[in-house]
Amino acid sequence: MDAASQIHRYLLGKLSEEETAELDRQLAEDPELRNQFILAAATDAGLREVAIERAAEPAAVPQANEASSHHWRTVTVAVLAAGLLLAAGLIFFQATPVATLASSENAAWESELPTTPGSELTPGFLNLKSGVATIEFTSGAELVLEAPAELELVTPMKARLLSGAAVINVPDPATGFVVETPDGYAVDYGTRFAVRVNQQARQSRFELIEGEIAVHHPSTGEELRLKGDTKAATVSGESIVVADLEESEGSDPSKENVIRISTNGRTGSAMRRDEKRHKFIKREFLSVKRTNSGKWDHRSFFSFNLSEADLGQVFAARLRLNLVPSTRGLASRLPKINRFGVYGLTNSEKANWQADCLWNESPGPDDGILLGAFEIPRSQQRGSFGIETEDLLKFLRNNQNETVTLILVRETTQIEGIGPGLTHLFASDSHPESVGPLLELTSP
Amino acid sequence: MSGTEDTSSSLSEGEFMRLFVRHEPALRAFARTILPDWNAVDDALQEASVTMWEKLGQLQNEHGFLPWAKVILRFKCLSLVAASRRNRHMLSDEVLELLADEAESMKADDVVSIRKALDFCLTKFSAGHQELLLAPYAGDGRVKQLAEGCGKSVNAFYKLLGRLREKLSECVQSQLKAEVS
Repeated sequence: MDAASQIHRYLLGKLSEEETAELDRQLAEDPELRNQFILAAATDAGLREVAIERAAEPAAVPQANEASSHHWRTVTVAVLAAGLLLAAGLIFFQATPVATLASSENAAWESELPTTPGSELTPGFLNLKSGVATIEFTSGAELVLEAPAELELVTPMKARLLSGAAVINVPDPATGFVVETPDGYAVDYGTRFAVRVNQQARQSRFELIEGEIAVHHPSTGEELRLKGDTKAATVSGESIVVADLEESEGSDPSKENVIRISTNGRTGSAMRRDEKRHKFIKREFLSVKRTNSGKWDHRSFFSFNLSEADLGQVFAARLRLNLVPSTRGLASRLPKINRFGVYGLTNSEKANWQADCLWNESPGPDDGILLGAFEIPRSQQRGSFGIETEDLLKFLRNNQNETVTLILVRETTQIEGIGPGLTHLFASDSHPESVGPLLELTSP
Repeated sequence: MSGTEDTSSSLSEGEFMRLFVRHEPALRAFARTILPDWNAVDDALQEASVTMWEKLGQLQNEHGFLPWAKVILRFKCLSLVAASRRNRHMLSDEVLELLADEAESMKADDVVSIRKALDFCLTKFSAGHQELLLAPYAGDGRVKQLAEGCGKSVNAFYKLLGRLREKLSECVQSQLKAEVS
């Protein structure tokens, strides 16, 4: 059998000891064969990707033509011809870019468009989950998007802000740049202005920073020019209201009392592979992971001292956890929505857990009762999550004046795919930037 | 932000993650050159990604990512070779080093081109042959199942698979040549 075919059988683990030794000898001598080996390994990697993609989409049954091996020569000729066409510059249709993603600061996206800085953006939707991103339109207009926001790129001269806030900077050549919102639109006459879309209130607020813009009301046809003194306008279902900038920096008159209790450093994580914990478990993080095999599971636990809280008065209890970005594994291996469960420890034998305890010593879901669940999209790397449930409040009331332990686990596992799945990380009290777990107790 | 002291890198976690995901196919193909099975490749990648994150401070900018990541991954792979050798017939360390040297020069674009060529070339196989080509990745026993379904021996099917893959590689190779010319 020839060497090239032996390479594939080697990659499939099907070569005998003698055959392996023979292949080794040939590879040592023949650089061309080594090239073939590298290509074969890359082909193997590609095949595996294809296998996984197809397994993930059962609907996409391979639509093979029935050409079998004896048509091989025609195929190669066709391939060569296609290559020549490409070389001649006849490139397949591609949507024209309307903008470039100029920069992003701590941006987390959920988007069908590329989201690496420098990427060219074709018409489509961008959904910024967190952070700030700057988009430069080919017309010269620059739009700074603030999360959470949804933006549709329409043309080099037009964008739609569906939710969130943006600041638009329009240099001379892009005069006439249009920003549409669900409630109205603004035409920019060479200026800088800001837009904020409030989806709940169904209104959009346009604020002029400098220059001149025209704000249109779609149903009444009303047009308002903002320049000089008139610097902000709110567009809603009925009308455009000119606003005074000073008064609108509203404060939120919340009269309720919220007390926040931290864990005071009492947090811990455990992983089933205890022998690897020195590598994967860090004091600053609460790590949570669930895998199909269970081999790489992580769970976290933390306690709150309730002796200072008057739970009799409290009518709402919320557990707040801060998600921090994780580089352990790949989000692509996770389902689009990941569900997490919070349990209250009831097994008193586990109440004295140590921060660095082994898996079997650590409190788990079986040692307690479910208090609530929350979900995190796989695209999200940061944010505040948690639960606010009756069960949590009841559990806290039942343990008044005591120290309670809560257990955090991921209930969802991974999906079929390449590479290790993501481990979710939440900040512990030792985290340098984000705040550790907090209990927020609200009383009248 | 990270769990390490090194904060000199200008890359954020998000940027690192994006780079890693973008270059993952290339890294995976590279590791596959050295390691004899996919389990070992997955382990190497997982461990290497932790090391990369810890040493991110060494990386000057994102253009240098792939070569830098390959150096870390290569080291991780070679350290896993000894363990793999216990349950597999493997190429010698000398040959593996040679292969790693040559595979290190492969660029990110090359891997994208290979994947494109592969998608195209696969359509030239019959549905049955495509199924066989993808069977080794569907878990143990899938090839055996297919062989039994056809009343053939598993061994004969692996030989057929070897030939189909060789043909596929040839097609990919000629596609790549056509792209260059």
